[in-house]
Amino acid sequence: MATIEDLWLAALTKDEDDAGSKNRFNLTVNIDGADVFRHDFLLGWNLPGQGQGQGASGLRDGQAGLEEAKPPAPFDSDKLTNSSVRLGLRGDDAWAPKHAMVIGRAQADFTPGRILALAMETEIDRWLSADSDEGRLTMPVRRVGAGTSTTIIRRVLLLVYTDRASDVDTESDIKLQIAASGQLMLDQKITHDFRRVRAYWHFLEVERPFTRADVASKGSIHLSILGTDAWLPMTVFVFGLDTEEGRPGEVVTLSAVPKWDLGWLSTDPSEGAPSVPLPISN
Amino acid sequence: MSTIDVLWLAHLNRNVDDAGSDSTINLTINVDGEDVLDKDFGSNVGDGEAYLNGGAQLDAPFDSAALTNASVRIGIRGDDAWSPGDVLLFGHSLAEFNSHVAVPLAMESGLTEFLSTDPSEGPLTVPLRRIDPGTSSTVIRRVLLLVHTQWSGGGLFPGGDTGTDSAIQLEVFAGENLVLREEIDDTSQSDLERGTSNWYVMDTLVPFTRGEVQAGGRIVLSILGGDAWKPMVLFVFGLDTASGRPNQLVSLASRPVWGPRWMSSDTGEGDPSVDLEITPG
Repeated sequence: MATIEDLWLAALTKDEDDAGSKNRFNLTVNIDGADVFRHDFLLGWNLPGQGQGQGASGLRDGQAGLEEAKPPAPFDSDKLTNSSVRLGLRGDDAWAPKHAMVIGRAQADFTPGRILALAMETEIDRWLSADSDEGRLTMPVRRVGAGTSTTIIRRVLLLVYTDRASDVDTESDIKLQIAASGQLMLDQKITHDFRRVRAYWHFLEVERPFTRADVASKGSIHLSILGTDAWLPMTVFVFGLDTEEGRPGEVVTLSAVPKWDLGWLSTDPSEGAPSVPLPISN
Repeated sequence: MSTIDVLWLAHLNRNVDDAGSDSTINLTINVDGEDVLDKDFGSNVGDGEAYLNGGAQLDAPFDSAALTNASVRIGIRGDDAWSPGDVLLFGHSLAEFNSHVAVPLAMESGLTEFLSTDPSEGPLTVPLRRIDPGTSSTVIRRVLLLVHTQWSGGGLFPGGDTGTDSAIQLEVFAGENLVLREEIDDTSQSDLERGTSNWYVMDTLVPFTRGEVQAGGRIVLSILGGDAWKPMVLFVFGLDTASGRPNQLVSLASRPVWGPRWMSSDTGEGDPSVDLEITPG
């Protein structure tokens, strides 16, 4: 049992014309007929110079969002069913999500609160809109399992959010490396900018399947920067998926840093560290 | 278990300012992560008024036993905020369409929230919890009459005056005992007007069961005046609670197709009273 006290909605908008939306994204979580969570997410926010109007909310075509909200009272994730979670849109600016995921943070017991995936849909083929000519008002987001330390991981999902403070963004490339049982299982470079108030969603291929136990035993997860444009991310989640493609059945938390406290990243040693080990989830 | 391939949605708006809405209502039914229904209803009824619509065959029939309390949600597709007080979803199997069996699926009563696409006005959707259809031995303490009045008289009276200003009366006899007699006249709703729906809840004189009605009893609908009336569909349910949301809702009579007959105390215009067929089982 996990008692959930924080939720994140992560979503990636399809990269096609008009897929983005300025409307709010409505998430409901229902347990046995009672809504334990209802929230309208902004998901995206535009700073001066980022287009779409300063202060405008929403997601543009191809853009990802990652945002946290607190339920009014903690709830038991074991009571969720495939019918519990629904994602909707609060207006008629139709939105075409590509992937969506709901992440929870369990209440801390003797260890820091555990982050776990609760529900997920991938390769979504429907549009959402309050206008019935344009799409559905809401859609289900089915439950996913949190897996175990022995779940075979065949793909990795990296979710990153960079906050709004001055100069925290970067134009330098970054790299994620995962070693397990003494071997490098993932070594992926990401070459786009990491802009302020932006989230990024990356599915990353692995060299060969591995487990979280393999990472915990003679392994590591490193996030590195490959240039001197210093970067201070806000939130970094690394999940392992049990399928090579399509919707996973199990989503294993490999590392979760909901509030980054690992310092600046830069190849310039006066500005930060070129690489940091990410904590391995248990 | 019932295979539902015909669905009905009924609601009664709260009788408060701006409870009515002309925004489209959206209903979703989810079974184990798959939406087996995502349907819009153009309700458009005012404050304190009722809505009843359905009867069309579903593209994908579903098993009512597979529904959970998290399966059904009702929402709104516009920012003309809507405040339903009571909502009922029920269905039939096509095979039983003419056998007077209506299967209650989900119900809420005493709702107080406004629904809207505008986040400042209320939630986008709310859940409708599963309702148990009860049995012939469920003790009934209240009765719900849902009725929709024809828009057109048809036949000799196309576009005719199908609504009525006359009062109507519902009587239920359990065996030979009168357990309900309720006259419906001049309520806060637009009573029995042409093309309108009505939702009437009435208290029983004494609690009863459907089994007792089946054992020599009757359900009688009467009209008490000469202003002829032509219903289109009519359903009677029994509620197991004396107030609040019922735990069980028992089908007592179901007429998804009323038929050609009018009702009137003037026998030259219609039938003064009709014995409604009692739901079997």
